[in-house]
Amino acid sequence: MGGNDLSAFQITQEHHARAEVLHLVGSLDAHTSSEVENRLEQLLSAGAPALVLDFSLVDYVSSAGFGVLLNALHAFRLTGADIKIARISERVYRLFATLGFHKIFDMRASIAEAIDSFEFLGADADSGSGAS
Amino acid sequence: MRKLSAIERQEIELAIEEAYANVVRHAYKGTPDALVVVGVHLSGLKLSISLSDEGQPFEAADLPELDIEAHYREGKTGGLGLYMIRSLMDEVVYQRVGLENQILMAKYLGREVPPALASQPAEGNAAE
Repeated sequence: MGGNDLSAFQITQEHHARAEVLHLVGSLDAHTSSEVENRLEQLLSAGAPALVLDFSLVDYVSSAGFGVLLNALHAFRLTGADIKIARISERVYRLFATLGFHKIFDMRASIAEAIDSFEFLGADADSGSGAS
Repeated sequence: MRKLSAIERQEIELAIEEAYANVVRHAYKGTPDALVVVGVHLSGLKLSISLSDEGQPFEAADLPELDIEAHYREGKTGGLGLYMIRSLMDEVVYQRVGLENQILMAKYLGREVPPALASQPAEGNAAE
């Protein structure tokens, strides 16, 4: 319903010095959420402390997608790690706000701002690959 | 006829998707070749959508509204579909009529968004 190809969802991982960034492209729904779930579980197992999800090209999130995001956020925070959402579109932000998820997820305007907002990383400038 | 805004379209699409997913999962429990009847009616600015099925009664329909923050804190993610339907539509009624489950959903088009929800994405919960 949210896209033309039910299976099309792209995840590109970018390593920054202080955080991992996942660029997500497509609709996060019942058909695609397991792919995101697997990647998030891998990152959690690998001990990634700081994860930023670039939401700029996510156009749709269903309950399956929110379930994966909430589970992952809960699991990360239990280990002292955290997940931030960056660059969410205004339309998808409205969905988060209508559902009250804006009070649960920390959402930032840019990837750089999201990385800087991880309190446990301190205040050093990001020296990673520099996408913003 | 008035066109739906992008926000209205997103909310209505999601509510239908979630209601349909609940029928497939809970009423028919994945049984193939089962019938779902979808009705759509526009009266003035009230858009009514119904889904009817002949599956098992939907017991979760009587559950109270979720406190989503408490739900999250307890590590729970069940019941999100029903929570989303109730949040995205203005009226939601489940009823059992004979051997049918019916969900009746309505949305009033063109309603102003409450000011608390109209902030920009960057202002979400990120204010410092």
